[in-house]
Amino acid sequence: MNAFEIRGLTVQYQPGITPLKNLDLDVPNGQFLCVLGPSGQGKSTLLRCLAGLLVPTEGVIRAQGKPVEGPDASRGMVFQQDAIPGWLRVRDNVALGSRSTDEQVAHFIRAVGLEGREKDWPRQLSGGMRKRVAIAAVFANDPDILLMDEPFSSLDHLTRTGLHETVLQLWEETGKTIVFVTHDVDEAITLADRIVIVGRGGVRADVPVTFPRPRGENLRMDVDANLLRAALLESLK
Amino acid sequence: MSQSVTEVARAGRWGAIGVLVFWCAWEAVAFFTGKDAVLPGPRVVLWEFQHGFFGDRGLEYLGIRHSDYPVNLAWTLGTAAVAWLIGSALGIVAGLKAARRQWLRDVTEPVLFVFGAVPVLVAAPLFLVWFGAGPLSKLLLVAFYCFVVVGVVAQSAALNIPPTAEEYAATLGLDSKARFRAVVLPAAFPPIVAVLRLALATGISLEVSAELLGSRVGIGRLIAVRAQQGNVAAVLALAITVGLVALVLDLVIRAATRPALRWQG
Repeated sequence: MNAFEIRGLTVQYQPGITPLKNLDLDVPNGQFLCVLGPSGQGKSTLLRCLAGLLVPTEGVIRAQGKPVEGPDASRGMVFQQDAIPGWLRVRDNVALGSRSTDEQVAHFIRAVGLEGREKDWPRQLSGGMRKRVAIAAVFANDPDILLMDEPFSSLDHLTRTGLHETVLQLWEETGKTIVFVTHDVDEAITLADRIVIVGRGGVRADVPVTFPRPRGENLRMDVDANLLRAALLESLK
Repeated sequence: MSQSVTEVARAGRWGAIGVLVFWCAWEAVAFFTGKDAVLPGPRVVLWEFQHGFFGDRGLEYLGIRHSDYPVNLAWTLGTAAVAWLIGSALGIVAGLKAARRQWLRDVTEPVLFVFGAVPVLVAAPLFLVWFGAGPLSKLLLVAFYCFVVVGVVAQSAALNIPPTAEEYAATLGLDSKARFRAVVLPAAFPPIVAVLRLALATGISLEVSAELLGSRVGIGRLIAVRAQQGNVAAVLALAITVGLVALVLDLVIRAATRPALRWQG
């Protein structure tokens, strides 16, 4: 069974503004899919539809075989903006989800490197740490699928690299399906085992990424990776 | 903990300096004016406070049964506090509900804004005509004011919560009620506390103003009587006493709500 089956997905905000038109896509379980595309081409719109936060104008989305009819705990989402409640301490934030258990909360706080900061308020954390809280909260809630909407776009390079490692470790540990939206080609090549380029309403390219992990900085010197980067940049034009 | 104690001590020190400066300036202006009947100095007002605190038998001839400060303060503050509690509670519920229901907002907003903009000097006599000179008219007037002000602020606070905060909670599996408890209420709490403090201070002042217009008891009634007698020192003593009690009540609210606002730093 696929994590997602998307058929004929169309979203029209108003006449003339149709970011997604008749889009078809299957996402197998356990896959790390990166959705790449220029700004305003429907990446976030697609993710919001997958989360159930936006009702499509036309089309059907099935998650684990069931139609998506609204947001629920089976599809966790990490947002681009700071979305964690500022009035909950780190531990309470990670335990916010309806499915989370004490063991999972403690485990994922450790896994994202926030051990010892459980009693801190979000205002006492850096931007990267707040992202770690959101990631821990989503994983602790044990969703089937994780949706990540340009979660690291506002962070510096070093922090982003550290968070890539954290997300990949958690993905390998839990085997969850991840749909990760980004406009950064290098980020997509580092993280994904499949890259889909969205634009002009539909899927413009669908590329498997088979480089061995861990990838990181090694890929900068790799000829195949550079060829892929060039091809992706060409597709984005 | 020690940091907050230090901050309170620092604020207290500056507050004491402010009071001292004001006292000296007032004393100086009163001295140079030289007319106690028009602008009595602070020592004269203090003397009036001490001698009037437990009542003035002379006022009994004017039909004032209770002329002491404690009974009148208790009456004024008790009525204002009950009205504040009722009006604010209803305002919070209505404001937060309206923020989540567009149709309710459409229905209530014009009415609230129109009636909320009616000056108290117009509204107070109307309430006295409709509900009599007893406590009910003042209670309803203050409760209505608190309802409008607290309701409008609670609604606006809930509407200003970033949509991603609630969407994030929804993707963590929280249903509408859980999201309200975990996201909407705590996010709206700081502005609601601010307006509750404002509503209490203004509610007390409204209560006193309504008592000035017509009442058998209360600080406002005493102020009216003392003003008719031309006793400016007594009027100032009563007004300052109300202000000080309102300040103490505000400190109580701040202390009571501080634990819930600690996350703001």
